[in-house]
Amino acid sequence: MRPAALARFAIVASGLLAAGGSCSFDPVHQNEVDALGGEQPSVPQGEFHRAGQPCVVCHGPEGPAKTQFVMAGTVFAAPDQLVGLPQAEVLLVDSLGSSPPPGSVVTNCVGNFFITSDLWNPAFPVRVAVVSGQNGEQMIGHIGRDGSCADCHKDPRGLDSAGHVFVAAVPPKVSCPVDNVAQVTP
Amino acid sequence: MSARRLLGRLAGAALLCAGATVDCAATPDPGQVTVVVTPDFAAFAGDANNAGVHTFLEKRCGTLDCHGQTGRPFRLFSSGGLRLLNDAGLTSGAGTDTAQEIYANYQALVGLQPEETSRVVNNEDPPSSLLVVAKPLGLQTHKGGQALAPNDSGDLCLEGWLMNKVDMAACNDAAQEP
Repeated sequence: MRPAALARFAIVASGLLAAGGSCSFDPVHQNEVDALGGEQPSVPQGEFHRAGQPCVVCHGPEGPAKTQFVMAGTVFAAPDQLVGLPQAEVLLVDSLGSSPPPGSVVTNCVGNFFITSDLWNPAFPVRVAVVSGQNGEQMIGHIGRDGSCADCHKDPRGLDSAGHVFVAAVPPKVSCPVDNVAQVTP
Repeated sequence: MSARRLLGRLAGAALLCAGATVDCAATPDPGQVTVVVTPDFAAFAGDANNAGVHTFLEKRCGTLDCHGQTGRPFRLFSSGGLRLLNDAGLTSGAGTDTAQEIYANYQALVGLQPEETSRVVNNEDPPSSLLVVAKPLGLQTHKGGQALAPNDSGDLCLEGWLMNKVDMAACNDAAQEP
């Protein structure tokens, strides 16, 4: 290869590498990320953002989020409202009988929870229940392989969705840096 | 190559093409059909006392994040997963399976490899020659991993049914949530 051609190849390759660092080469995944829309101005990026959205779309192996979750979602306090339920414990058990440490998966003040692989790496399928005080709900079926609750539990309830995850409970009063009413419809 | 020889070859090729065209454009023969021998639908559907084959397939494979999706060739409807379009207002997680959903699941399973299914039902090929058996057993790549263990109740239920020797006790056991 001649030096000029080699230089052109290097420029194109570095451009492709740079593009790869900022967005996905997989158009299907990129469409899923784009479909989530932008951040809400009142909620900064972090553990309180995007309540009710499918977390692992961005927090999965394809990014673009830096932190990867094996499982994550939002628990709401009622079937017909999008008020986040704080301090609810998410109980999980995988096909090998393994669970996260007791008390380690608890929703924050907007109802979000997340599990990183260093906390627990489940062998799917996984059974799940959510407990808030004396109230609780157990999922009828199991989670086959999707780490995002909201991929299946989206609103409105319909042929392919049982609606958002909820435990009918009065949300305990906790201080929260953001509004605990979801800013987007899951 | 001489012009005469070239012309001869061209004429030969033209005759071949014309022959092929006539053959392809022949009137379809309605009597030429592929007969599909299907496994027993009654055993698949079960009854008041037996869960049938469909219940375990729906519970084990038909969640919304796996085969409970419309885009999948082996697409499963169920009360706890994807619902078939209905006028009763049934949504995911509500009510029970409808007869239409159970039949649609049967069609999806048989329709995956109808001719190979025939050979299995006729005991000409083993059940593991079917994707619906080979994939969950891990004999072929399966995105959902190994979903059945050899000779577990689900495997016995599915393979027995495909070979016209349904083991309903195994099906009932497999239909229980773990």
